[in-house]
Amino acid sequence: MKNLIFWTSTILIFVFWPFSFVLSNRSDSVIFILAALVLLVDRFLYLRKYQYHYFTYLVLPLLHPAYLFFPIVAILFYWSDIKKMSLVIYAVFLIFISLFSWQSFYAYSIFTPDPLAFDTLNKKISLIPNRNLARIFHNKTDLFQDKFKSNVLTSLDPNNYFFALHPREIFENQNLHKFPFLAIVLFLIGLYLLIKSQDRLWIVSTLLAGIFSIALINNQDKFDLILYLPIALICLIGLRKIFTLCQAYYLIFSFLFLPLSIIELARIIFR
Amino acid sequence: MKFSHKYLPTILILFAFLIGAFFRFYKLGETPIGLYVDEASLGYNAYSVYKTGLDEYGKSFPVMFRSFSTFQSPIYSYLLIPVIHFLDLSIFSVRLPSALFGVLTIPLIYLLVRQLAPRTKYFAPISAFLLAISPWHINYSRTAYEANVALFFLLLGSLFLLNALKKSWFFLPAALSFVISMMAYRAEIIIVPLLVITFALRFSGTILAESKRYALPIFISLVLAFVIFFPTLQIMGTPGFQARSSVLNIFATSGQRPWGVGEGQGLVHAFTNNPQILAIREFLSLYSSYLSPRYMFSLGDSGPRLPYPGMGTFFVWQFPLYLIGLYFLIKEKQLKELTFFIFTFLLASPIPAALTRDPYSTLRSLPLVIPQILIISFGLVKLWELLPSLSSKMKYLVVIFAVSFSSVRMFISIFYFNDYFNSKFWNYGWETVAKEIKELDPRLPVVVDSSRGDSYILMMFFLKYDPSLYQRDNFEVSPAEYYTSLTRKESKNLGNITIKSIVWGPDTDETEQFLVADYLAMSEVQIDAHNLTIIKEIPFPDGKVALRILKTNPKRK
Repeated sequence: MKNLIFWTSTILIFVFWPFSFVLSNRSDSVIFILAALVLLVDRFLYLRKYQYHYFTYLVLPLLHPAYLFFPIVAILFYWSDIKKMSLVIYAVFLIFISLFSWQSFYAYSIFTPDPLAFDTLNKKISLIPNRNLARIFHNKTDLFQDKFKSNVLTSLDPNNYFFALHPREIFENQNLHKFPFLAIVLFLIGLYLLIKSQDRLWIVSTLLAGIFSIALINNQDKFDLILYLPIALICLIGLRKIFTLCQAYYLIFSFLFLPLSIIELARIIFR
Repeated sequence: MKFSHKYLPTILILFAFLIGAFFRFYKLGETPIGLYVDEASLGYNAYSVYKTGLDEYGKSFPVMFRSFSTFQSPIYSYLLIPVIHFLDLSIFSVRLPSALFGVLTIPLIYLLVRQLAPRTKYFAPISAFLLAISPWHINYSRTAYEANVALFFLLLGSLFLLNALKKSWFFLPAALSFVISMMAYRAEIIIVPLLVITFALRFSGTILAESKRYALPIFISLVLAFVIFFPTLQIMGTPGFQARSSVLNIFATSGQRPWGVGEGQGLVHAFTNNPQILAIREFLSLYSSYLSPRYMFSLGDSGPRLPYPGMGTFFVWQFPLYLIGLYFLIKEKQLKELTFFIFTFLLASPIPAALTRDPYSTLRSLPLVIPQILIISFGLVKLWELLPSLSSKMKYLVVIFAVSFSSVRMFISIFYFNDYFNSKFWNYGWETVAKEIKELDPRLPVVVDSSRGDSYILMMFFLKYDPSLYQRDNFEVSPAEYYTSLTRKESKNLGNITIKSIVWGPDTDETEQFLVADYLAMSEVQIDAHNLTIIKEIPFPDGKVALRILKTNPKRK
């Protein structure tokens, strides 16, 4: 019985995001799903202790140029374990890929000109009486800094994953229901226990590489599917913890979590 | 011990007080430019009570002040009476209590942290310093909001309560402070009982073990609190008291609802869109937004007057400190009192705000600034300890750079950007209108448009209109129905000035009079079409027209 409840809860955690994603993006969802699958493949290789598993990250910019920075950020976490030769090969491949991807990446990135933001910045600069002060505190880097900061913090917002970005949804975003809302409890427990988890290197590296690479994209919508696996795994750590506690805890949790998640799933399907 | 190390905490707290006072008092009457109607209402009602003993509606010393179709907590208006006595009615005087209590909160947080964590030398002054430069706290200290006064008394009550276990008679000032806090702002009506119950549960063992010592002070404190709060309790069931919350709360049936409530029919819809479940979901969603880094460090409040342009409620460099602080507060076991206090405050403070639909309302969740500042400060203290390899000079340099850079950025945002970008939300221009109206031909009547807001209160405020005359000429509700009838009078009369929605034709073409309206009510096309003469245009700081004073020309038409 305990196992059945555990596996049902696990399936509910893992099924939500892909399900709502496919239902909302029937025509152009393949690339993003493939990108998430690349991470799944990498995870299998990592668990099998395959030494060169990180080479799978090089597939991501090939799938979509917007993922160009993922392999660059992710490799930093394996820096100390990588042999020089494989690092050189990795770098050569990456440079080769970026030669083809750079322009497309730029078109998707936060570095593309934004006339409205530029006008506001100019207005701000003109309001500061001292030009040198204006240059130090408000300059052109503000445009990228603000977007980057906003993107990173959106990716770090629990409401993004458990409440479809409510209460302040992003206008140009699909604001998908990515996980059952009660899974936020599991996520928080998982996040706290992550530091002791054996999985922490893979989860943290893919999560941060995902967050920082898509933070460079103007609109993260759909691209954030790359974060699905690490976040689901963090929830899984929390779920495992609950099921190691005394019976009352996991029974109470499951009593609330299962019916509410099924209702939510039904909402996604019937909408 | 070096001299600088010995006196650094004292220097830091003094500096925190000075910089806190600077950010709260500098250009207080000038920035934000203009006056929000709620501020004007607080100020004018205090003026009215001071002059006549009655508020604008003719009610004698109300328990809650009627403000348009809602009610304001009374403490702020009563605090304003002595201020108005000495400084007269002005933007500065109306904002003064908020700024004053804002500054006084800085040493209060210092004392509180000293009480909770006496062994940590720098934690208390750092907390005070970070509160002194908190954009969130400064924002509410520079404007007349009751929430800021309530926060001060909430902290004061907490300080007394924490000391009450040592000196049992401190339960009395604790109760008094908590009741004032509850009467100063409504969110505290939910927060204070939660804090007190949690405190009682936490220290129930100590209290029960020494029941003889604590029984009498606790009993007297509870009676005192009940007696003072009784008038508020009496009106809590009235439509007036509930007017705002009944519309704003997440269980209200009116207005747009998220996630498809009421958008469909049938069994499947009833199953998947159960209103109660969706309300719980909405509550959790709103609640979690108050703890979310996206709102804290980037988005800030969604209200038009908040936050300062380009700023969140906290500085972005404080984000890693927030995470570090949270982690170590959970992990470290020796700071039980501190952890208990911070987490009780952290978890209780967003509840009233999360029960309303507005996303991330920094006003209703103002007490949250305290635990979040404490977490960030604790994070800084821990980070300092975690980085032994860096020299002290380097650490000081990094912190001084971060604090100075963000303080200057905030200064620019408050004193240069805010007035330029947000002046229309602060009703800019009405002070000039009040001055100009006095110069107009007194034989002609003046009609002031009120179709977009309660401009009458701004006119009364800036004209310092005699409250007894206003009460005589503008009957709106009898004192008996003060809290129950929410009907409003469409037009107000201030001598030869009538404040109402301008009616095209009768008001613009048939009578010779002056009109006052904003740029939306009176466009250039309409001015031409109705043959109106522009007497005066009052521009916003960005040069666009804010308000116009016009004269009708019925004969020429």
